[in-house]
Amino acid sequence: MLSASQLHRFVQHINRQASRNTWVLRRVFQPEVTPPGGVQKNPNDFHDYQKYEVVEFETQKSAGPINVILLQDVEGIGHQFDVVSVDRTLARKDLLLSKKAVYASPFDLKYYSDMKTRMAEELASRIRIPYELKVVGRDLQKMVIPIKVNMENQWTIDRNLVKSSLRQMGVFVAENTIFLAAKPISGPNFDIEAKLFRFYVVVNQQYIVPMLGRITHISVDESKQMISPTLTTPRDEELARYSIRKEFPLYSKNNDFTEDFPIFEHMKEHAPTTPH
Amino acid sequence: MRRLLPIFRRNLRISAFSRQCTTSDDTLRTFAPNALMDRIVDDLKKTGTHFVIPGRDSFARQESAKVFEKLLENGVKCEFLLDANTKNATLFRTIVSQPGASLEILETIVNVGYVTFEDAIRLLALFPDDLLRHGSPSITKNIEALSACGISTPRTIGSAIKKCPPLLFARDPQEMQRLAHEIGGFFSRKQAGHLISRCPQILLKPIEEIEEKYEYMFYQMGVEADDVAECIGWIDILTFDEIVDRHKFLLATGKFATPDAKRPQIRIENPKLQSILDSKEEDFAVKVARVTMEEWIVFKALRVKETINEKKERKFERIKPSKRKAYERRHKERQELAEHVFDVSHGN
Repeated sequence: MLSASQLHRFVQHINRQASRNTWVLRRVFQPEVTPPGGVQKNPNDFHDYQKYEVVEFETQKSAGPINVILLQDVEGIGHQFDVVSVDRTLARKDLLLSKKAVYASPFDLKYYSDMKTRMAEELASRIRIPYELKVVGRDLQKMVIPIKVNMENQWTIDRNLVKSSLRQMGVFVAENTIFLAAKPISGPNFDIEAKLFRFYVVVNQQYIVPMLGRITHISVDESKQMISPTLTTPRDEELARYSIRKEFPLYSKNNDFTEDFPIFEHMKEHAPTTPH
Repeated sequence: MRRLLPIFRRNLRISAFSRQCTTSDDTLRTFAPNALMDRIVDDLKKTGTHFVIPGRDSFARQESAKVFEKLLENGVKCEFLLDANTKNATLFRTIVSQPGASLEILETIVNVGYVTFEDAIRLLALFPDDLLRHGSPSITKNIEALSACGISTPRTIGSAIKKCPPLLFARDPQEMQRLAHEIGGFFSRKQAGHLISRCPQILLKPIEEIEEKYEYMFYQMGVEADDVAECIGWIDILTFDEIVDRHKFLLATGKFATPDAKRPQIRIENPKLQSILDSKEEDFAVKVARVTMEEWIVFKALRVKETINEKKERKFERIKPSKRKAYERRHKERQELAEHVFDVSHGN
């Protein structure tokens, strides 16, 4: 059994641990300088000299970012075995708890540096998609581009038309980076109103992004208006209805996807069906 | 010979009846939705609205036709759909452009709001943007809030929605419940429920407005909660100033006197609050105040000038009934002697 004094000391210790802080204080009224040869007075003899004001305290300052070593590729942060400086809260709540990273302690720095040296060949051979391309691909894939076609005049969907429609959605691409299917779509034909079709956009000759277009008939005549179901994110059954397969972007380390590359044939065989 | 003839006749009738059923069923099931849409487009073209809808074989057309098909299956008649869409082009545009959301909202209003499909279609025609923006989950929450406010039976819920469709989307459900709770300070639970069911617009009013009107009727007119709960004109139709005008007009014509606990005859002889506030202006002037309409109009004009000249901090004094006599005595003593009065004895 603990005695009362021991228990009291234990409780004090816990309290001190929990609320420990460092404060910097300053006197409100500065005492006079002791003249040379004079005897120094005790400042506590005067009541005003016992007043202090706070200059700063420890918890007022942010601790700043923390250095960690990544144990795997983390999107948007870095690759495996990189030493990165991340937000302290992010590291504590996500990276360290889920074992995606460890503290950059001297031992860990040496240990994982050796491991990185041993795995240099494997790391070099790993295919990594640049983060910027991933973000661009995701944003482009989310869109369904309304391809506006005329209600009366003859039209055929070509690269120029798709480029104009992309521009209306805020996407500026060169014409030679758009790839359409071999079979042309012509009209006007109200049976294909709101029809979805697949086309591809190539980014940096490295990244093929599958995109969706939606045929939307419009008329210059204000009184004549086409009404059809509004644009929404298509479900899998809608894609299957139009014989469109669910695809995700394809990346190549080399600049393989040039203007003459057969994009449609290549994507039929090699398109990923799951996001990476 | 006599036995054979009746049997023959019965057979003929049965076959004729079955043919009729078969024909009508086939027409409804196979051709109605697409033919109905084509018919609506043709009728709208005659009235000047030129719509172009997707082709008959397209998927976009099928989605829209599904809505009409479900409505027909649920018992809505072809003639009603044709008439509703032809007279209101916005309804047809809404159904064709957002078929899934429209059908979901219609079914929600019918299943949770206890109204018929015809009434739900009328509501969608009147408030298409608000209902679609709000969505069916929010509409469901609003209707459930009505149940919490005291409107609990299906018939009263349907009646409230028909009387005041903005209940479905105009206000946050929690605010409506809070207002119903605050009304409980003025009325009993039964009275409040009865009041809300007869005039659901009260749930969309700010509580300050309701409090001001009620306090005027209680403190200045001397009307009790029982009488206030019986009439509904003060909630939505009349503004506060109009209530004050009607009260002061009746005081001026002598048809209304402030009730007194010691003289209950005054309360009996006073016109009922329902006739004062729920009647139209002509009925109020002629039948309640017993004067002509012109006098009522002139009085209102004078009241406007009088109100502008007044510089009161508060619109009216809140005098408890038990303190009424003392207030009136002090009010009488406070009168100043007019300049044209020469006799000093009147001032005393």
